[in-house]
Amino acid sequence: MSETASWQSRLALSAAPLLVIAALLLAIEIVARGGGLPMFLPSPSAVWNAYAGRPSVFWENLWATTWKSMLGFAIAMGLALVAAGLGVVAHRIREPIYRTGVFVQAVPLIALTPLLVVWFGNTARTHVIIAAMSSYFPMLVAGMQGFRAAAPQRLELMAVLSASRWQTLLYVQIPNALPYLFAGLKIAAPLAVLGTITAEWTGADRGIGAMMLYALFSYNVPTVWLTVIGACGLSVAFFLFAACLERLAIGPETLGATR
Amino acid sequence: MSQSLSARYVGKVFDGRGRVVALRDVNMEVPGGGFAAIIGPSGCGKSTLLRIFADLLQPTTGTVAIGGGAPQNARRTKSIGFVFQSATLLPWRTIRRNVELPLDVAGERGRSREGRADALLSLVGLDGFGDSLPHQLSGGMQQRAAIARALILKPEILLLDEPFGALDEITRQRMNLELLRIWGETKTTAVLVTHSIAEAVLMADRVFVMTPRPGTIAKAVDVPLERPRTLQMMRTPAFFDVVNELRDALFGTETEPALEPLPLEAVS
Repeated sequence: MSETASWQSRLALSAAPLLVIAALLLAIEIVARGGGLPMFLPSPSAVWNAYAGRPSVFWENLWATTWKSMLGFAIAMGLALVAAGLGVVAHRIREPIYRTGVFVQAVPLIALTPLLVVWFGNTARTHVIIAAMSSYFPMLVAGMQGFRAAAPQRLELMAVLSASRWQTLLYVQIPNALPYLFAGLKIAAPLAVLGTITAEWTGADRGIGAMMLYALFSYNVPTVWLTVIGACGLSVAFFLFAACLERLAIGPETLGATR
Repeated sequence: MSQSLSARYVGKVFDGRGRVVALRDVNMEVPGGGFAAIIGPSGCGKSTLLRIFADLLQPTTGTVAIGGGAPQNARRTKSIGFVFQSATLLPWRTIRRNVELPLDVAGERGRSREGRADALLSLVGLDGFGDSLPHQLSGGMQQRAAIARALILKPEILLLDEPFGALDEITRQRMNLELLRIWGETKTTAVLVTHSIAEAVLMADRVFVMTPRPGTIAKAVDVPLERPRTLQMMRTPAFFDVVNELRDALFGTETEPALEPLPLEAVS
């Protein structure tokens, strides 16, 4: 995207996908009205009615998933960054930290969730833990790769200045890792949402996953679709949030030059 | 008076995949305030030697002394300035903040640091570029900033690892003279690693010739040129005498052509 692009062309650029979606929805609606769609594909208006009937139900459940995902994501981010930082400063514990991360990642959440439910009860706490577990590993990998990616000569520079390991981390390795960290962030943020929804499927009393489950059981197809759309929207919102953070932290002027 | 620098029977062996003897029995002496150059082909261990002086590497055998003490002390007291082959500026910091990096590491805050970076930037001819980011500057200007950064803690020893190797010939000669001027003003002891014979002779009081496998000092040649040095001196017979002496030390006095002429049928 060139900076000289006028706002008209930018508007056109962002309007085009919306127009396509609108046209698609309209087409589906028309076909559905004519009875040309199987029952598991409701018309857009039916989904809208499912929402408009009791909007507060949708928003309440969406909010429950949102805050659990955010909390889980924040916890994962904090833990992963501290772990990655420790792994860089204290070389000896790098491997154990990494392996623990691999283990956490390797455990199938769908199998672990019932166990956690048994241990902690089917509470928000369980969902937050699952959300944290699902977004921990990408952040850990991003942090470890990023912290270690510093050019050897920059590290030599810090050595000549007899900088401490923490100073090296602060002045060279963390800034150097930012592009990696934000790449990890963009992967991990939607995963936290996915984790929360998976956890809610085991029977939470609130959340978009729970709403989805109950709608499935009662063959309320339009509501299922509504929850799917809500889940997608939430994932996209988390991704955009991470992307915005990246824009704020790394100015476009320094992105191009990493030598 | 700046600190002297010496190496006694320094050897360095890299044990990794295969044993590499990088240095063997290296002896050299640089008096305080002197300017020495180390010259040799790629892979002769000259950068390794410089890194041993900077306490970035430990010698396998022998000892190195800076001002009579261990290089570790010199590094801890931040009396070593090191300029790398590439400028190694941090791209997310402005030029001024890059030059101030050693102050940050040394924990110098407040009044004492005010204006120091700008004074050095003007010493290296970068007035008004303090707020620029590294990538906005040319390679030569970036290297000047790196020199300013190496000087900000007023080091006793300035170690230069092919600092102008990546620059074009014209910029390079200008930077050589700039560096000599800066060295004259700061009175540090300087060691320059280079693979350019002319650069070594133009800059140094004494040139050490290194030969590879294992890296060792084959010869030390004094440069009988006055200071301040000028580019005109590069046309004098005295200059050429030293250059030829160094060339002989590097290549031996072999008179045969470097390559056997190819038989005609192989050419076609």
